[in-house]
Amino acid sequence: MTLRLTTLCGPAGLALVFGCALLMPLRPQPAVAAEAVVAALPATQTAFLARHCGACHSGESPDSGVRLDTLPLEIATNESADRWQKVLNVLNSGEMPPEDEPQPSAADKAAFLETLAKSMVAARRVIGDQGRLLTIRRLNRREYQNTVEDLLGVVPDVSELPADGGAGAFDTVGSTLYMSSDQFEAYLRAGLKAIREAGLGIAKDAAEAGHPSDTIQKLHKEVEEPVNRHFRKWWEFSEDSLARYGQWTAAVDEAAARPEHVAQAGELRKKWAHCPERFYVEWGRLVGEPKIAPFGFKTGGDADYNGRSKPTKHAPTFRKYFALPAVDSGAYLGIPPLHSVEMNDVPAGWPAGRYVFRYRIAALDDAPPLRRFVQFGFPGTSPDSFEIFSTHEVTGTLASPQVLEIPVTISKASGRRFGIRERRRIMRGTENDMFFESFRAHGHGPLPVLWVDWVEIEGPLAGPAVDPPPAQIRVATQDRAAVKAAVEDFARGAFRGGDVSDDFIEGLVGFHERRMVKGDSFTDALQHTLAIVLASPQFLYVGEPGVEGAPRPLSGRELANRLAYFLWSRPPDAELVALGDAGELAKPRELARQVERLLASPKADDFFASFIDQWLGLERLDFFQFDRTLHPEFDDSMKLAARREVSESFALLAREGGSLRQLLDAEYVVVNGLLAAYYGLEGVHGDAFRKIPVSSASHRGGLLGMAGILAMGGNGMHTSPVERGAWVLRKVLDDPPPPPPPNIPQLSRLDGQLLTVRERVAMHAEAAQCVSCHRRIDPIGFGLENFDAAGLWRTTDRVTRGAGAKMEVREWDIDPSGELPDGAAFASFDELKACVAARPEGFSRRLAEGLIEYALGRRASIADDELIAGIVARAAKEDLSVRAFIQAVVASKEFQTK
Amino acid sequence: MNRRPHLPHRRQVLRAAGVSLALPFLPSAVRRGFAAEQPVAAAKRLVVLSLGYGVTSESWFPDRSSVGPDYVLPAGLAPLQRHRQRFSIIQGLSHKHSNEAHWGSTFYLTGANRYAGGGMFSNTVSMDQVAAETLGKETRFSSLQFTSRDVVESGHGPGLSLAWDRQGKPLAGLDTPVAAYARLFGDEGASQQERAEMLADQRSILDVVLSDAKSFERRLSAHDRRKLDEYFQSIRGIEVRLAKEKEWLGRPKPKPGLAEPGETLAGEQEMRLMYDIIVAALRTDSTRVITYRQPLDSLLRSMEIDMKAHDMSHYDPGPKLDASRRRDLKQSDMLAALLDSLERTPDADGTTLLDNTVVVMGSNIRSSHHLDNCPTLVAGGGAGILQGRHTVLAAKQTPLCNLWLTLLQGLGADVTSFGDSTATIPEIIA
Repeated sequence: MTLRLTTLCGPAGLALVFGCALLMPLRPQPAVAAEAVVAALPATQTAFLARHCGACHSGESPDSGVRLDTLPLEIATNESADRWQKVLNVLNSGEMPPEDEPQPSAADKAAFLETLAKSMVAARRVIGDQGRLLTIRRLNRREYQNTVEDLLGVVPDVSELPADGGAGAFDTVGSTLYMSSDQFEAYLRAGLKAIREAGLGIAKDAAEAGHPSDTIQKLHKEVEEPVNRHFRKWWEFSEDSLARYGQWTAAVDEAAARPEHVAQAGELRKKWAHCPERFYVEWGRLVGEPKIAPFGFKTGGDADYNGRSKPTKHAPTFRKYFALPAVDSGAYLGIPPLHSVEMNDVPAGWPAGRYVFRYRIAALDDAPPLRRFVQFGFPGTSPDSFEIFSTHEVTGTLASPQVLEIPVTISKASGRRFGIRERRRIMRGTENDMFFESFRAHGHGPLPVLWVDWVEIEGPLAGPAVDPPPAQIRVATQDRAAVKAAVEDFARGAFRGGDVSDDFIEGLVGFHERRMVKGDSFTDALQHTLAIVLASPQFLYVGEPGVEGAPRPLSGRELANRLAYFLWSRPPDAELVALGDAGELAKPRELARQVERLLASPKADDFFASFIDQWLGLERLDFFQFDRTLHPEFDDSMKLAARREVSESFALLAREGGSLRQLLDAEYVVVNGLLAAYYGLEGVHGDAFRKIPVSSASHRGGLLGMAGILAMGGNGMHTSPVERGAWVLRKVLDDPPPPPPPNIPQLSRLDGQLLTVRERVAMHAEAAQCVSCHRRIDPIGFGLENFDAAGLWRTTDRVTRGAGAKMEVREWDIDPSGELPDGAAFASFDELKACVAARPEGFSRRLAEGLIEYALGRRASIADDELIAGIVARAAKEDLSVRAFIQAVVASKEFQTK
Repeated sequence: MNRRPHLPHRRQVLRAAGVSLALPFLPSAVRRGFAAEQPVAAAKRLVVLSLGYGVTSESWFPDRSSVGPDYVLPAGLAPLQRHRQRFSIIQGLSHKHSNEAHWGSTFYLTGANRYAGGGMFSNTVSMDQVAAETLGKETRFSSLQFTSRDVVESGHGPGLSLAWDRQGKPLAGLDTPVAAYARLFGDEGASQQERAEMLADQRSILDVVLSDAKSFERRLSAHDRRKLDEYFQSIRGIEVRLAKEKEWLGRPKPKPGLAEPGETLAGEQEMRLMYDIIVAALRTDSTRVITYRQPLDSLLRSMEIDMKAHDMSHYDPGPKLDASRRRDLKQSDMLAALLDSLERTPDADGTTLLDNTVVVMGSNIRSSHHLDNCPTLVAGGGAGILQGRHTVLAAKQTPLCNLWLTLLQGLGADVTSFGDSTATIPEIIA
């Protein structure tokens, strides 16, 4: 089928004649999915092409060799897609039609571009269709880590393995999960490390003889002892320095008043009138009388710095510090010069394993709600290298301190030093800025509010029971048969029901012998041998044997594997394996029961977090730093909490059987104490995320009111209505705008103008090639403008120019009104939310599509439209219950067939 | 089907008096790094540095009207003034298939159409790997890939380094100076005998995993086999490397003349150290092909710029533009230092490393979301490119692959096309 440009009549001499329909609509309707891959570009649009392009780009010798009259209309190949993309690009950039040719009207151009751009989105879907074949795939990094953990009982170090995902697909999609030589070797190393850590292959008697982990050790430290002693000395020194500086300057004043010095002193004082303390420095340098040494300083400069500058800041800070309550029995966490991180090591002699850190801790009664949080993690070497593991609310008071318990697991290789500090940003300069802000305002550094009485470290502690238990390769005798049995046993566990060939086992046993002959100890040789199993294809790949063109139902064990990797990102547990082996999973009722059991387990957390992060594109939160001045509370801890709110909300729906509608609009939020404090919700304390009812006045409840979602739509400083609008169209309404065309110039002419957000965006959208998409995108973004770039509610916005006294400010009331692409109008954010919530169809389709891709490890294709519709239909029977979506995916033929 | 990779035929490794060693078809191979023997002619080398989110367009590029050898050096390149006779700026190059505004490195050296494989992502072989097929025969490492831990937020896009193999699969990179140093110069901590046994050991590991791969493969559908083929390819890659290591077994790793990096650094320190390692690797002739996917976000951190790299790339007048300009100056300064080192290092036949190395610095991204006029700086004499010039190509959309083809031919690779190249670029050839 080709587009023919035929000379008929008219000044342009061209009209379009169509043999058949061409460009397809954005989404074929499921009912006609099979044949709906081709559709028509309205004649008005194709006339555009003929009128504005046909004169040069048709016939035997078209300009630049770009011939459009023979270009296939159906965008079904990469070649034609590339051509059409080029057409799109040159129109977008304004390169074509050439300046000296008649230009299309803005409306015509916008309409044509809109249609073509949409067609390109659809075409990529068609061309990108790799069929519905399910292929084997490598375990991604998360799954590898979880799988080794289940197998060995220790968490492997995966830092050497490449992170998966990133090419715009879920990290479970096989076509993006590569294998390379380096990676193979990294698997060998990581596997060996984990095997050693787990103590596999240690001779039986050695293993049974008193394991060091039998002895639980405990360390107790009263924090105030070292910390306050140090500060007290520092304080005394600061006060003393100040006093000595005072004595010295008084002595200088006295000397300067003497007749022989009056003239010089007057001159110097005049010279340094703008900076009087400098007078003393210069006096010390030029005159040197009185002698400075008796005052305890080396030079005037030394006195100025160590006798004035530093102690002027430190002394008042310490004075305030030592006036704090209970300072005799504990130490406060603050910022320098106060105690900035309480650091403690798990003693070097203690074995790897699980430990608990306990802090007896309290917040002052008048501590503001957002200052009642601590960060726990690896302290690093500087304030900006603190690595946060977790953030905890301090609910204890001085009258009744709490004991905060934080479990940690350390391996042989991991760090042993842990630290706790008041919540703050990990950014260079933060502490310095905080200090000076306070110093300028109050004459001393920020006063701490969190008090720590003591720290305890205890362990190693027994881990939670695991079923099946981790592999215990203990060899009673060191003969070939024992090695063979051990290796085979291990491989069977590692291969998850896959076939363990004799050749493979013989090869492993042979390798063990080889290493022994070479001089390895028995255990060493065995550990190296077992590491090979963890780099073998049947361990590293998930997938089932099969024959091309002959689909077969999965075996019970295979189904158990697929289900566990879907909902747990790890191998099935003993119960699931047993049910699979017994054929019970073939019974729909039992299968459904297992889905519920798996979703209820904490092991499903990894699925919820990974799926939601990728499905909604939350990785964008890592793209920018949130401005400390504009968004002081949105630090790294808050960002993590905001991100987690999204997955916790989804998890709650999946676990409680709630409707997907509640993700669009709900009368509750799922938050912890930190996020509740951020949202201004009172009475919510503690670190666990849970359901908290909210009133409509809070504007929270539903994705569009979540800080994590809103924070993505900006740059860490200001909001971007375009980003937000495009996100809603793409992720929620399933009406994706085409990707922004490359090479669009930035509007530098707008620089330095005091424009409202609406004005600025309007200018971006004034060109014909921009308006076609922006008129759909921007209004939604405007509807979200009541939330600032860090997701806090606001009713006004402002823009500034310049700084200091000359700063110009323009402030305006936010106008959130707008309409959805289908014309539904809204006057406020709440109405926008209601409009979106009333359109759950697109969101439902996207969920079904996302789950299919994630679960099956392949891209959803056009051919899946029917499957998607089926899943949505089934979920619709249960009011779009999220669990029903998941159940429907698992129940589908596609999920249960190889 | 015999999937066992076909090994390159084993070369006879002759050792005499512990010094001389002959690889029959590699007359120039051995002499380098062995002071006892006189080099004959200097070898050609390639270094590529990629910039992630690009440059500050307004101040990095010379004025388009100021071309030829007397062009006015733009502000962003000012620190390179002392080397202006040794590098050229070329404008007008781009990849026609580019459509990802955050992927500065993924297709930079390949020019691939991400959709060409039929799915949503595919890639093809990178230029450096084609170069390595010629330049890498005689060195311990055919090529080396350096990268950083800070790539996600630096605008590089998917991939593990700048390099992609013949199957279009990503090649892993060494992501810290510590790892790069260890690979190049690290003490293997074992006698030759032990090394030989370790190699044999690795071979037998491969045999064992291949036995599982084969029994697995037999039960798979043709489609699945294609996926598993990546595994076989990875094993094959190791076998090729082991064969090479075996060739080099008698020869200790060279002394780098460089202190061993003690810790993992970040940002500017990391980059400067990597540059030192690049020079040491070339000087010791450990490899002749190096690519470096550079950190950007952490570079900003080390310059005390509290701004995400992506944010900076969308600069407008104010702090973002300032940051972007400072970054350009820092990068130019570091590049100048690298060129200093290359120039200071004598090579065979009285030339310097800079005479025989071509250093390419650039990105698939110009700045912000611009994918046209990819920033392109080519320095050194390794590929016979005219130095000391500013060239604005007549065709605004000249394929970047034309430059890669020109460089490949200049480096001696026997190729007539690369990627979507249409021709070489005669106006930049010396």
